[in-house]
Amino acid sequence: MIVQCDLCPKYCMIKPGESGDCRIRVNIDGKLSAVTYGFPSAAHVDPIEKKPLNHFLPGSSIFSIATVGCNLHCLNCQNWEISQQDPVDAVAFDMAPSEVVAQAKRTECVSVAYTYTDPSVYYEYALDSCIQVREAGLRNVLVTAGYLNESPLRELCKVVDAVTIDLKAMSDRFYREICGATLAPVLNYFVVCKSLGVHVEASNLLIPTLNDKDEEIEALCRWIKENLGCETPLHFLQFFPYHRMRHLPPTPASTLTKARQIAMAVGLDYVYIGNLMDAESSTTKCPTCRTVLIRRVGHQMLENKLVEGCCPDCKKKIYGVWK
Amino acid sequence: MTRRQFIQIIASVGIVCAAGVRWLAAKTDVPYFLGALKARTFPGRVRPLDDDEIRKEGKWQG
Repeated sequence: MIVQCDLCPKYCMIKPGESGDCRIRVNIDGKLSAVTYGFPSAAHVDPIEKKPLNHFLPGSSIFSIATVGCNLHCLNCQNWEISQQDPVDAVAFDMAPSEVVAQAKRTECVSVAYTYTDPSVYYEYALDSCIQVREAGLRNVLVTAGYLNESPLRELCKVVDAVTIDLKAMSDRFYREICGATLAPVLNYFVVCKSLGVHVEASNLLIPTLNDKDEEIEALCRWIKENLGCETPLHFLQFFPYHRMRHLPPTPASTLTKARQIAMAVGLDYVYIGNLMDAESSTTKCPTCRTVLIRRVGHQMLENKLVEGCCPDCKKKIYGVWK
Repeated sequence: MTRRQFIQIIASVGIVCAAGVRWLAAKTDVPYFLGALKARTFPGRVRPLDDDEIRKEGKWQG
């Protein structure tokens, strides 16, 4: 019997013995099964700034897990070796949700990230882990492309503390041609998370000639400002030639700097540049008095001057989760 | 052809069509799932946890 997966906007119709577009939701004897449940292929302790998250428990370590599989197939994927891998060919750890909690505690992490591939497709594993992580007093972070239907997203948001969403472009055509997806569900993902009180940060990977035009960057920044608020942190990320996009050069530093200038001119308060060692663009400043609040180098926090989440000089409350 | 024969033919065609539609509907009927079942086994290879590897920063983006 054919089954339909209603987890993501692809609504895959899956024949017996076959998988959905994500490779990991399989029709086994007429029943939809999550074959990577409890079997992450990657588990590491990362600095939280690597997610990227600059306004959520800065300077802390985060236990980060991922199973293979993804519902997007970005030609430029930097993690394609696990995101596009078939579970049959994969190597994984046996790590039930309770073990995720145990490992996070053992490695002295205060939060757990569901990252590297996309937690949308290993939804049941991420949800059950989030519930147990929350019960243990730790925090949950999703690092995602945001391609998930609203109903499962709302359920997940009940136990998620922060999310960093990769907004790949403000063009439906880009999503269709480069990622094999569509734009509208991703925008809705942002709005739903924000409306449910989840801490939201956005990232945008700038790929030379594909999504780096000034007008596109401005449109993306305006959408964030109008729909999520000017306090939403935005990270511009440098592209490197990977997977099926090795013919393009890395994003020039000048493009990233210009994108940051555009975002700040639009009125976003916190704009960062990732994958590039640059002190100025990784520093958090008070949007009111421009006092330096948090200094970083790479993924390492050097100094945090915030007092109870506020600027020590003008007392402005800074958007984020600080303890 | 008598009127009775004509009605019989129409009725027969109707019954055959109705049966066909029902068969087609049953064939394409798709049950919906709100979630997936948890698979008991992993289709790939499972290896033991490596404490040193876990404590290292991941090589993956994100």
